[in-house]
Amino acid sequence: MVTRPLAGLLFVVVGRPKVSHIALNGRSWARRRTQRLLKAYSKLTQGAGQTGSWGSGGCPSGQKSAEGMGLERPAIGDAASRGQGTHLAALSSVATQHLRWLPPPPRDARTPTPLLDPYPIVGRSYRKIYIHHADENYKVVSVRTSHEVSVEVSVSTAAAGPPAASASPAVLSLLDAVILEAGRHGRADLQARLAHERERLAAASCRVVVVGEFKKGKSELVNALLDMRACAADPVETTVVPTLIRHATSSTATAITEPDGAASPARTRISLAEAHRLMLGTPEDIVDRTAIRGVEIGVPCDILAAGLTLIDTPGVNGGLADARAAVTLQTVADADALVFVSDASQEYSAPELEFLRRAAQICPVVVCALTKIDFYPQWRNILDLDRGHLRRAGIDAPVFPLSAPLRHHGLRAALPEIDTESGYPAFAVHIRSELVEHCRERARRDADEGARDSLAQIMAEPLAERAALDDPATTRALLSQLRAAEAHAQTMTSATARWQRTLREGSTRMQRRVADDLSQRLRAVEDEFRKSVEINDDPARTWDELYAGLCEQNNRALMAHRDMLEAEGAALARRVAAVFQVDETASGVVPDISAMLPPACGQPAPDGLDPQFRTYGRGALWSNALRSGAISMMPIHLVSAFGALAGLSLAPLLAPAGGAVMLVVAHRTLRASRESQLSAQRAQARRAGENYLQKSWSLEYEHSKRRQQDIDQALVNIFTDRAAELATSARRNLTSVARSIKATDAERRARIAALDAEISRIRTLAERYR
Amino acid sequence: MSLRSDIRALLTDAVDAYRGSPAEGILRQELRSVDGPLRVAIAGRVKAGKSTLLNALVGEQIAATDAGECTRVVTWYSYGPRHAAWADPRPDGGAGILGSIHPGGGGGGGGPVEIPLCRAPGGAPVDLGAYAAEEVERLRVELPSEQLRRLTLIDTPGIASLSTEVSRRSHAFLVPGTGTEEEAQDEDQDGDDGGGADAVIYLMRHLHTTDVSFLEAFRQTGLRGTAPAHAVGVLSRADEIAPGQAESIDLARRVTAGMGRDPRLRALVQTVVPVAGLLAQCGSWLGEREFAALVSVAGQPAVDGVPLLLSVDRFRAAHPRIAAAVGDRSALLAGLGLAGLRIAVALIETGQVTDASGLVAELQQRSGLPELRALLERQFTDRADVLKAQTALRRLDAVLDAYPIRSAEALRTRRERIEAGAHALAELRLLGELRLGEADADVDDDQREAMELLLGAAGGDVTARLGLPPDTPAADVHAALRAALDHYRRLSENRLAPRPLRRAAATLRRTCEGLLAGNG
Repeated sequence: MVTRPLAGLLFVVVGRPKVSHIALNGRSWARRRTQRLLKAYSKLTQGAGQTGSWGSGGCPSGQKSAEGMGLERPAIGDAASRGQGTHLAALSSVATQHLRWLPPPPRDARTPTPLLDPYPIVGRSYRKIYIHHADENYKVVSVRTSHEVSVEVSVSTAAAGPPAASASPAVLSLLDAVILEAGRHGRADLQARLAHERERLAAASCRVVVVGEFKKGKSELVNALLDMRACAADPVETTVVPTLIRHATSSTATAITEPDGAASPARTRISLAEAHRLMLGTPEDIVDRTAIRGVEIGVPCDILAAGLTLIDTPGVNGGLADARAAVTLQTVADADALVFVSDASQEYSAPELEFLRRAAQICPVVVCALTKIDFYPQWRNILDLDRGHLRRAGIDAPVFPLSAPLRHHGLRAALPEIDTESGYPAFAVHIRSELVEHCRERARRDADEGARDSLAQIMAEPLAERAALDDPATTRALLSQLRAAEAHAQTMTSATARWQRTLREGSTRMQRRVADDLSQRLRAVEDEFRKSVEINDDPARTWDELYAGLCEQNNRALMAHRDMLEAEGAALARRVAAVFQVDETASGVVPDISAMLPPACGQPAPDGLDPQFRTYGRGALWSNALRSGAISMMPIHLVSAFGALAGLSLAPLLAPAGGAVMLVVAHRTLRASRESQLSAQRAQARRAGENYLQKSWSLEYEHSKRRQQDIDQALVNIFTDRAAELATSARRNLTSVARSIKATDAERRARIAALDAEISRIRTLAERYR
Repeated sequence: MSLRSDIRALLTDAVDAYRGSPAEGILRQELRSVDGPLRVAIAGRVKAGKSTLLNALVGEQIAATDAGECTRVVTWYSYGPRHAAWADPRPDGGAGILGSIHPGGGGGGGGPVEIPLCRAPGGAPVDLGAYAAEEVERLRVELPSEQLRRLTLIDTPGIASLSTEVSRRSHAFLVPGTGTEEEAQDEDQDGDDGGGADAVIYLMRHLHTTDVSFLEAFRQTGLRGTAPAHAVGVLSRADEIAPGQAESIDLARRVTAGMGRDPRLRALVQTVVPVAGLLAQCGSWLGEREFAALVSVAGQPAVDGVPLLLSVDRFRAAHPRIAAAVGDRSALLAGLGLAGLRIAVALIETGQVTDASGLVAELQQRSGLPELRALLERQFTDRADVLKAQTALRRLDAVLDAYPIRSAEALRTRRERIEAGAHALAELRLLGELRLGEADADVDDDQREAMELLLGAAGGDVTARLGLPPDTPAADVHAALRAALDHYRRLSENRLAPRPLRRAAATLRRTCEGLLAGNG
């Protein structure tokens, strides 16, 4: 069994908590709850926010774990509810939130005992609860002040149950060991790659986008889920700017603006209140806010820290006929999962269902939320009706009935059962255990693949030397073989390498095809629109209809183009990877590590991933395309990791909404027009539509170009690095074998012993990656 | 001769001319409705609260309301001596049901069938019995309600329904003659579906005017060639805008004020008012027994620290300490909604009401229904003749186009003369053109608003037309009228002004002259 590095937990309640003391020590139920809570945390924290550094010496970061699990709650207004209630509320909400999905704790486990509070109780109000990690030496990380109470709890490895597949601390420490091993062998290149992998793993975040028609409670849902006012919500005004919410140790807000003519979006730090003002408005305000791409908000929150990024989108109206539908669907395409929000006032309408159907095609992981169930007496009927609609539409998605007021009351008044009734604990558990865990698992598999490959490269060196030492007679043959391998590896790094050619040619071809596709589709939409204007008898009166039709056509064309672009990109990656793979196998630099290990003991091969992984967001599209080409895991891992990464940048998440507005404006000018001639009106309608199309497609052209460049650059980087790695491996193999020739007998024996120790150490590590 | 008698005479002659033709039924029906009440349709998206509003307007729980989609057949509610309902089956073809609005009128096809009217609480008030909704063309319900003496209300199935057949029917009813050719043919075969309303109440529950699909749905239903004078908008379910907040209705007013400024909505409706349908209809069922239950609820605001009104489930859960039984509480919830309950309990707690009738009055006051009634009175009932005349002429046009006979030309000429001679119709037309931006009158917004007011956009009496407070002294009104008359006379005679503006000014000048004559 793997020893878990995170054997201890430190639970610090900051503030002047009279009751935290009671909650932690006083009554047995409180103690039980706290223990379970802590156990839950030991499983859940998973190193998120660990900013541990590793240096060239390869020091694992466990020594320096940072405060990751900040959990800040807004101040409670009412004096009567202050104190005990709120504290228990905070604790029990965390507990109920996390305990649902945990298996019951083993009965025979040695239960940890919380220590007593050594500090006198000073006041009554509280501000924060921080939950810190401690390293295995139970070091206290936080600074104690006279207002803090700290309780240290030891959680034995046995009591924490078997390590979960995704127990990130264990995964990270194992990765750290591999990094250490790479350092020992002087492989800075591998170290750098694994360090990058580690960073990605630690920061692995599941991007969940919240969509739905407006005024369905999307922002309310985000706030209730996080239990804080991250998004602005108002009964009359609505969210007009896409908002990204991620974890941060303290509240931050950034406006991402795109001034006219600027090449790249500018980021400006603003206050949370300002951000809220930016987010809210009436739809007309979008006209004034086209320059604002989005708002990014960082808040300290445990569920976000566990690896969740939420994106709140402006509501769509009338599904695909909404001018902004393509923008929202673009956001959906870059997300890992989708929460579709509808309220209990009515069943799904036809446009809602159509939008959902389209979104589910792009992002197959769908969760439906039925909000405001505290308000509509018939919500159970609506729930049944909606489930029926989903079933008939062939959308496999759970529907969660939710109530934000119940959630808030339950947490404020320390009534866990009310919180449970709100549906949010179950919803949060689903998001954590289904969505976040799956994303994390995917990142882990990618990291595992990287570690496995690095170990194989590291192992090759002592193995080659050992072979030469074992049988000096074969050394010459081995040397010439290694020389050939080195020469082969060298050619792979040159600009004339086969994979380079394939990439260059493929990317030129792709550029042309994508550009053709774009202009063809644009022309088709334009023609269609012109025709519909031409046969229209009264463009001024029927502008709304024309407009909706145009938007819908345009949205469909944009989506089809993006699908085509992604498919082309994945195909290019597959071609390059296949060529690269052939050369890599031919060079024989990296041994097949699985051949060096005892046969697998009933565990599925890495390729036998469960089917869900194959249909998981955009990263899956990429890895699926590669898998179908019968290519080994290494390039797949590299490229699919890239595919998943590509969405991480904010740019595609917060796509510009500018084009949409033009039509609204056009409508006004058209209606106010003094032209009464039908032909003049038609010309004007045509101009308005063409302007919109132009704006919308010039944005799309940019997006398309950027995405192609990204794909190109990423493929170059990935394979250049890989080729360099192979060359280094080949060179080192060669030097170590060459060294063995000059060795004396005694040296030889000593060296063999040393090498054996090294090999067995690496093998032990590699075995843990089986 | 009044407009009404002109129309009556014209229609009578038209009936004679078309005797024996399939068009006779349509014209007869139109002739009857000239002296009947105004026909007002209630339209809107699915679940907009159309039936709830209808119940509130009638003052009786008559239309079925349910969480799911429930109005599937166009239903007419008109005044009658007793509660009764008839179903007009869909015709099998040919003959069609040229049935009248009034019972006994009869027609071809299956003929109307009287169906039982179930008035038990909870059940569907109208039981279609052996008929499936698809087989029924429309339902006609008669009640002895004072409210219906001057208005016949027509409940329509929702637009944008997931069931396209239901959507189509509404569409066909509200926009006769549009739609696909096939449908148009269907309608021809039916002769006429008896559809066509004189005026429309559009219900919307969305808060923002850029809800493209909702406008789209409305635009499609917008009776072509009709001006917004025929339509008022209602922001229904106003109590749900801020669920749980007492000031929800005030928020709704804020929303409707914003809606009223949107040009697309202005082209469609006169104005938008908020109505909380559930509060509005509480008078029909809230009695002393219900009041007692509310009092017991108000006396026990929380159970185990959980406010009773926190959620619907909490409110109707079993609480042994609360006097009101679970069933009673469920009924209260169904009747008032959570928002209504909160308001009612707050009213009782603060001692503002002490009995059922007081509560009903307070709730109705807050529901926005009185404002809507006043608006309907002002916009529809007061100008019923003009609205009906317009419908009748439109109908006549359709008949003349569809069945050209020898005397058609003569009828058409008379019809033109009536239209040209009736200044009220000219006013209505100009108002529509102004609203739709078609008048090409090169004026700024303030001027246009003044023109619209003068044409009766906010009501027909002279002060409303001049935009003056209702209690303005007669002398001031007179002076203002003279000033307006001078202004429009000069404008209409100004050769430098654009032609459309001069035409509009001429109409307005006649309006002023008429008002001056009426004002003495």
